[in-house]
Amino acid sequence: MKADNAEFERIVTEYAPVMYRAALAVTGSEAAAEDAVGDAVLRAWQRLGSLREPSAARAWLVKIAVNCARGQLRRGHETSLEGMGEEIPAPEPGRERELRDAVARLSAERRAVVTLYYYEGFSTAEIAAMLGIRRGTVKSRLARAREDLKTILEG
Amino acid sequence: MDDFEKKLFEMAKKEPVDAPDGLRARVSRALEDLPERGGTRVGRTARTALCALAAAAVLAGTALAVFSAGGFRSVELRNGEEMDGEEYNWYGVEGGEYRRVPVEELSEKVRKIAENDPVSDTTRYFEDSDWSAAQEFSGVTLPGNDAIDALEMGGSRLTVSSNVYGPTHLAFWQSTDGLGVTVQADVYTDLMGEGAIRVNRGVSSDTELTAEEYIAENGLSALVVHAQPDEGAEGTERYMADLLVDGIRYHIKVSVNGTEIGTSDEALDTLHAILNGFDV
Repeated sequence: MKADNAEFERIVTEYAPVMYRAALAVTGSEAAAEDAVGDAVLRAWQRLGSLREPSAARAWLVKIAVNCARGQLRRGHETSLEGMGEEIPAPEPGRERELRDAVARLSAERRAVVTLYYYEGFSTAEIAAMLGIRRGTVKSRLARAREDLKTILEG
Repeated sequence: MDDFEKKLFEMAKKEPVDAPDGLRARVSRALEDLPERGGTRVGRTARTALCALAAAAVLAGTALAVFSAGGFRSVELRNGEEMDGEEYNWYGVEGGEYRRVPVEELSEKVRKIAENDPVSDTTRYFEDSDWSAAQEFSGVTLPGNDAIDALEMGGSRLTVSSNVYGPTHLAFWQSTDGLGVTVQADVYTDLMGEGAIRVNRGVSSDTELTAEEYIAENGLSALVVHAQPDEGAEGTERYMADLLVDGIRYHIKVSVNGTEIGTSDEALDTLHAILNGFDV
């Protein structure tokens, strides 16, 4: 993608929220997710030449954010894969968040695919590319996550 | 999609996860701290050249043909590319004579999707149907193919990608029930930028990729890639074809899934039959 500074700034500003949500799903930590987005902006800038298809910018940026979020985990940022999902955020008065609370109970791996699939609307193929796993693995994680969510939401 | 699946999508829509107030400031700081891009461009040029050399080595003997295979201007293939500490094998196709369909020729429904949800990808599912329903929905007619029509497809979908001005890309997808055969057709509109279109397809490093050009009986050229998982590795052996037909990019995958497609030879024969089946 041949983009100038303004164009890069535009797509990053546009997609920062979805990058954040994906990073949050991986790290389980708001602070780590913000840091991951900051890292991802720099990494995206350095690799801008690899974005040849402007319509793919959203998925491309989310993939970079997910990788940076994993980097945060590897560096031991506040949380760990094993430790996530046990603490459920306090309910916010006046906001529906039944599913969010249920998703927070899932393992980090399942939470990531659920967030990218149900909240962000990415296809299983796109999620597979973002997470560096097979599409079949995405599907099986989604299937297991659905079972977990059904148990949590419907008892 | 069952009721619970629909419920999850509806709940997710009603419960958006808001980005924190501090995110905008964090992004602004990151943008202000960006280094100059000059050095980066040199690095990328060098890396691309290395990829091209690797492709020539892997595709030795057919390198010249492969560089124009499938109607694409160039093809790269690389096994063992390192990215973020993990290894991938991948191939990419770039350029070629793409048709850019005028947006006015698309259906009102597709234009409405883009208008209501710009800068996004929106998918419509057509269960228990091949992609004829998706074509009717979109107003786009794909090239005819008797071999594809003869397959019993278990479902199809259409993904509409849009920018702020309207739809840029329509991806038609259909598959047999057991995913033995999947076919995707990518159609771009005149809102798509003029630059060369590039698509990369990657697999994990435990699946080796090899490539060759196949000339179909109808004269079409296709890039055919064989993905062979290492012994004991996850995944299935598959053959994939990438080609441009009437300016529309096709990606066809035939997997040795043990039910619909039993053997490697059967997979390759099925793929060749599909490539020969295009009405051009």
